[in-house]
Amino acid sequence: MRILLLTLTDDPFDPAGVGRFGGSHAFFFDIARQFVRMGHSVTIVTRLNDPGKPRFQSLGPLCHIYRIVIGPPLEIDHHSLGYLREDLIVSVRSLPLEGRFDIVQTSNWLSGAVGLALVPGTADRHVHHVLSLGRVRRALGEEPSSNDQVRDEWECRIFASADALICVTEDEQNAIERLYPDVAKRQITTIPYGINSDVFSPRPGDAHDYLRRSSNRFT
Amino acid sequence: MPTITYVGRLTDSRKGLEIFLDALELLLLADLPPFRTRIVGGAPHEAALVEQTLGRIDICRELLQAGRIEVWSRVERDVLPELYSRSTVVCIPSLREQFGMVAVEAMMCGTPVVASRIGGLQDLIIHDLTGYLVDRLNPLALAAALAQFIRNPSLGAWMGRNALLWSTKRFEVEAIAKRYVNVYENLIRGVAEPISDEPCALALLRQRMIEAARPVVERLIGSCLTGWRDVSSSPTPSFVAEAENARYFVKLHQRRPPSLTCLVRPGFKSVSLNDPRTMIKLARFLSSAPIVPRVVFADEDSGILVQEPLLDDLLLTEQEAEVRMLEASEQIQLLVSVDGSEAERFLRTLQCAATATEEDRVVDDIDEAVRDLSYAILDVKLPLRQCHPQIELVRLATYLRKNPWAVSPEFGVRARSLVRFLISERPLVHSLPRLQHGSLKREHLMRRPDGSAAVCDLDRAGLYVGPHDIAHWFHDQHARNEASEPFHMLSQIHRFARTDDDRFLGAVWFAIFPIFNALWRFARGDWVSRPWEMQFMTAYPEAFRKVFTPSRESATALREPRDI
Repeated sequence: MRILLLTLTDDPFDPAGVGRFGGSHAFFFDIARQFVRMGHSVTIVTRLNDPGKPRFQSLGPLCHIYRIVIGPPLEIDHHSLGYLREDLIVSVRSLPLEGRFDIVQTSNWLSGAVGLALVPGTADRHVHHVLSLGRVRRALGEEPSSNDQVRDEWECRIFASADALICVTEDEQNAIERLYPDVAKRQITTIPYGINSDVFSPRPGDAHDYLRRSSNRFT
Repeated sequence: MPTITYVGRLTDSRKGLEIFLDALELLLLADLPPFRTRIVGGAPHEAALVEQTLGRIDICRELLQAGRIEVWSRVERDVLPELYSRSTVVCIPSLREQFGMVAVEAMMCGTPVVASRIGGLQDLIIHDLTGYLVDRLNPLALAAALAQFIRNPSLGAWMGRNALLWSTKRFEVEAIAKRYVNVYENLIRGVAEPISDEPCALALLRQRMIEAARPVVERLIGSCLTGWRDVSSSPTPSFVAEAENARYFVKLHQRRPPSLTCLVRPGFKSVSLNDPRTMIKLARFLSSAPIVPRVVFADEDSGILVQEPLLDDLLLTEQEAEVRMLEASEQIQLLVSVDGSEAERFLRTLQCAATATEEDRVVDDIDEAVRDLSYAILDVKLPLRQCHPQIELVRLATYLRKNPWAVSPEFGVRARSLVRFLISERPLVHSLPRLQHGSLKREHLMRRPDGSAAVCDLDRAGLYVGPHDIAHWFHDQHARNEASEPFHMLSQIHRFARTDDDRFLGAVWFAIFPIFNALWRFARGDWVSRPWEMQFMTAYPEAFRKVFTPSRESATALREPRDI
């Protein structure tokens, strides 16, 4: 299977725990690696957010990553990237991607909006990973942003057109059903984020020495 | 030393670090054993800012210098499991959280999580079993839940084992990737994805616990199970196991702390864990009462107790159930006679307590005396049992005075007032305890295949002064009512209790149970004062006076004996 993974607001290779990068970055990295291990071909497209990063990397025969240059090559507020949507579509379409993809997997509304434009031209099916919901943000009373309306319009279009929507928890699925009543329930699948148990498993014994060595800190 | 760890971005207000720091300050000022706090995440300059903020708080500054508060910037991913594994609990005080990766990472390392009851965290953490979910934006609730782990680190060990069992297979990335590929393949083939009807998280965890115990159960009964049905009604999982020609009722005893961990004094020498061996030994002993289920097989190492088959479909009227329950209590009481040198020592300790001035000492001495008495009478080292209701009033008064932050203000004021009322009502009753069920309620009444009733869930069985079982039964009935009307239930206790002292002690137990329940809730971060409890505590003194100083006509009605 050929999978195109669009994560335009988040580079999965950025380390989690710094700035706004959280655990979902680590997940997209891990899941892409799992797809490759299962023998699927994965092409990751993200936005260049650091001039020092390579614009193209081939990570073995089955995995490639493109960092497209749209907007300043810096980490900028991802909510304000909405105005770059058209440029992002043109840029992704002009990438030297060989052949068609079976699936375009998107995350966050901006990637979803770009993903919509790639089906059926570039990919056969569109699967959107919800990642966060504008209406939940507002329901919780978070600070409004000038992009809220654009985001809401695009979220509705994505939810209406994507072939499948993936939520990570039942709570998120309930939120979609409650706050976006037009979304068809059969479209939604709940699959939690996965964690690599080779890394995350109970560690034996006293590890103070290990911690001191690894972190150059006294503990 | 218990360790609380926060892992997350430091400058993103949605992560709730500010709330965590407020909770930390509360914990540092509370009556708790020493603990360590570790804050991990962010860039070095962000970590330095957090350290600066903490340095402005006197107590935090000292502890930063002493190394009991550590602020780390982001660490490499492979260091995180080391940190999680060395933490008693991980805290996620987020204001919004779509998923909560840190929660899953910590649980996969066998560490429980205290988190805000928000977003995806609600689906990841099984409240009470793999951690606690507390009200969002409430540092008091967060502090109360974290304090549980500081008071009793064995809570972390027990929940950590549950967390590991729950998370390991469910969130393994390999399995998740397969689920994604399955969705993709179905779309490509044009096959509709069947809507999965997955059981809830709690049911899934119980399923795992039962499946993990299955090989031992099969070894004990000597044949393969053909099926099982979860019938758990307490934190101890229980299920009806079906084998080819037989059926059993199985309980999985775990090594876990008592529910009211908040009332276990730090450093108290008595055993404060429910030990599977003890529970099994106790179940074997109690099964000589005809109404208690017969033990068929048991494995003390794994805590698996296989009993005669029981079904949860016993149809009885309320009155019939009451008769059966009180009959069970009578049968259990008749199993032992509480006497001998340890009984005399218990009475002497009570006499000393009546004149003692140091409340903590009084409570500790009675706890120790009842532990030794239980050992002498039952030959088991039971975990802490709240044995004497008037001593429990002292315990409650001390707890509420020392931890005013640990309950909501309106609840604290009312509870203190009610406790004071009962303490001043009568001098300490010098009575020996009796062996009782300890948790008589409707759900514990089950049906044997021949249709007769059996009373199960004897985990709280032990020595109690006064008619604990009667009071608990009526408390349980009362708690099911929408409105709290203590007079009626107090009158019932009054009718069933045999002596004047018992009437009084039963009334005290009846007052204590709702307070215990509320403390249990508050200590788990559930920070809502329920109108029912407030109404109960407000109406109780009047109901008590009516029952204990009745008019001539009602006195006759109250004292009229009733057959059971």
